[in-house]
Parts: sequence; C-alpha cells; structure tokens
Amino acid sequence: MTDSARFSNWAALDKPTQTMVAATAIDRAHRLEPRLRAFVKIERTDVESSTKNALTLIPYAAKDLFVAPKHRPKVDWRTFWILV
Amino acid sequence: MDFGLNGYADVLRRLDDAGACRVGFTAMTELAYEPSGYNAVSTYPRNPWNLDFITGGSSSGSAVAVTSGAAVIALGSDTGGSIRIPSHCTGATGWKPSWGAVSVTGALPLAPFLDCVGLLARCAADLAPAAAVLAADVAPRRAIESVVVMADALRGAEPSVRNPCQHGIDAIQACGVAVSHVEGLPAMEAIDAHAMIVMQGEAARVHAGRLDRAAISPVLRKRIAKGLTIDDATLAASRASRPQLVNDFEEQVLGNADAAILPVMAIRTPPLAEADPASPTFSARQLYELSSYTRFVNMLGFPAVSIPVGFDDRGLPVALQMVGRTGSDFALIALAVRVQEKTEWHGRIPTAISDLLDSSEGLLA
Repeated sequence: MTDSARFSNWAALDKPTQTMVAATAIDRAHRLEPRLRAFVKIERTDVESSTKNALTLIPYAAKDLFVAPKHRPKVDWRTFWILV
Repeated sequence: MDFGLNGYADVLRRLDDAGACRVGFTAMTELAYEPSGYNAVSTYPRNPWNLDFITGGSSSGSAVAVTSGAAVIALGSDTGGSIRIPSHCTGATGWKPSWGAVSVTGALPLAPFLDCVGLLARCAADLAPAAAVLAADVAPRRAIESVVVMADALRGAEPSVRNPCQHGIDAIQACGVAVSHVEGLPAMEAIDAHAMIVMQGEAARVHAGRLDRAAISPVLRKRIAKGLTIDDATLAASRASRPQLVNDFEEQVLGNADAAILPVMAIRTPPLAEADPASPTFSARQLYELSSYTRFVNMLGFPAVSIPVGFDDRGLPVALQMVGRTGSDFALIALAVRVQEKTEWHGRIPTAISDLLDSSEGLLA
C-alpha cells in the first residue's frame, strides 16, 4: 500500500461498493482485532436486511455503554441496575 | 433514577431503524471515567498510528474502530472530552452534541448533567447523515460565518500541537470564515472549576455503590471516593451556575462570533506507559492535562466538532475543536465538511495497520 492511499468517504461510494464495504466489515473487524483490541463484541451483520433508509448499509460500532436486545454492557451490570 | 437501562438504547434503535448495520460493541475505559483510553481491569484498544501510544478515552474503541476501517461511524459518549480526546489521538472526526440534543436513554450514565451521546467517523461527511438521524429535533441554524480563536489556549499548546492547529485555522479561514482572536483561558478555567465539581460529584453519586467492588481499580475507586467529599449544596450551586457561565463565555469569548476554536489537547498524545499507574513513567498530571481543554464545553452544554488538522513530531494525529452555541450542531458539522473538502488530514491510512487492509474490499480510494 502506498503512502498516498486513503480511506474513501462512505457518501462518495456507489451502491455496489457500499454493499461490499458493509459485507466485509465483520471480516475486517476480526482481522484488525488481534492488533487493535477495539471491540468487546463483534456481531454478525445482516446486510441483506438493511432497508432503504437514510443510513442504509453503513457499518457502525457502538461504545459498550448502551443496552440492546441481547446485549448488556460489560460492566458489572447487576450491581449498577440495583443502584439506579 | 430511571436511565432506561432495561431495553434498547434510543440511539441504537434510531441507527438500526435507519438501516445502519452494527459491527459490534467497542471497548471503553472503566465506567467511561478515564481520558487516556487505558483500562486497568480489562483489555484496552491500541492506537492504529502507533501501538505504543494511547488512544485517548473514554470512547477509545469507537475511535479505533472508525480510524482503522472496521466501521464507518461509531457511537461514543462525552462527559468531559471522551469523544474529542480519542478523536485527537487517532485522527477521527468527532461530534459532541449540545447537551440534551441526543437521547441518553439506555446509556450507562457517568455525570448526567454533562453526559452527551455523540458520534465519531473518519470524516464529517460520513458523520453528518447519522447526526441528523440522532438529533432529529435540532433545528438547522445559519452557517458558521465567523470564529474566534482562543489565542492563549493555542499559545499554551506544545509546538508540535500548535503548528498543525494553526494550519487548521488557516484552512477554516480559506473557507471564507472570518477569524478573530481573543484571550479565553481565564473564562475557560472559571468554567472548568464547576465542571470538575459536577463531574466528580455526580459520578460519585451514580457509582458510589461500586466502591467496594473488587472489579474497580484502586485509582478509579479513589476518584469516585473523592467526589463523595463534595457536599450536595456545592454540587447544586455548580449545576445552577450554567446559565451565568454561558452568559460569561458568550460575552468574554464568543462575542459576535459563531464559534470558538482551540486545540482539543494542549499536549502531544502520550506513550501508553505514561497512562499506566503501575509504570514508573506514569503521570497523573498528564492525565489531567488530556481533558483540560475539553471539560468546559460540557459544563456549558455547548456542541463541539473536532477535526484532524495534521500530525505531531512523533507522527500522531492532532485535532482542533470548534465550539458553537447550543443548537449549532449542524452548522459546526457543515463547516467541518467544508474544511475537509479542502484538506487531506482526514482519511489517511494509519501506519500501524496498513498491512491489514485489503484494497479489494472497496474501502480505499
């Protein structure tokens, strides 16, 4: 890779390329993880089900601070829940 | 207190409903209460520009996820700089919203009077549509036409931070924005005194029940305990001072300008060893310095956007923050887009991971 190589802006990509970036996001995260340790959990993205809305396909990560169905932050959650 | 911690965070629901694809959840510092990115009780992310330097925190994993190409945007939180500091250290673009502009329901609180949920991305153009989804109730404001540089804050930065920041200011001016200068540190430090009281006092009250937990590091336990020495009246008085502090800042710093400009950090991104309390080179003073230019923004409740503006003498990114009045979120983001259309500091491939990126995946220009 040359020194001038850059990341593309997501908005500048055409739809097939956006789909490719989204479809490869999980593999990329797994490839980077041993060196960077950015994630506490890498999920399985269902690119096919992404609907045509404002952020269609855009791969996103979330700080381990948020609750979601089947996810609770890694902190000692039961203690915190009792507290609040 | 009900923080809505039993279901589906509003911000996740909004992004998911808008069609975004979640890659995963990212590492953070203990209770989001550590500005370096170091985590004494868990693994912590490494800086993709140099693995031996801090990522900044507390949204450390989110910054690394976007600057490494694992994600295009990432959710973070900012109570005293936790989006802007890791953006500085890793070369991300960060948006700390106006207080209350983005829902925090379903997010672990640290200091609710200061907490904001926001975004990180490689560039403002990628961040903008997601910001519109998260802050749908914020009305658009007129474009940023004038900014004021906090000249003493710029002078107080280390030379290899100051010089890139000056290049960033020049780039803002090249966008047709009027640039003036003011001495802003006295106002900032007056606000910061209240920010520290509120952050320590609220964090202690939210997390007091954890003080006896073995899973909490001794350093964090000490910080939480310190907050419990702040009495309720002092805490209430600092909270109540927000309107006056906003007035003072607008009079003494902003004047007629639309936004204030200053470095995110006055110091270079430190080596990891200086953030590890077990290391002989650990510097508590340096940890304090990491957020000394960011905390006051949370106390005011103002929005800020941080943008990369170059690199320091060790090859690590440097960022500038643009601080606007409450509700000027989209105008700040729009200015960041304009600046990044004319500059090339964002979107560069971090040197410590360039061998791991595959050009056939469509991510690279």
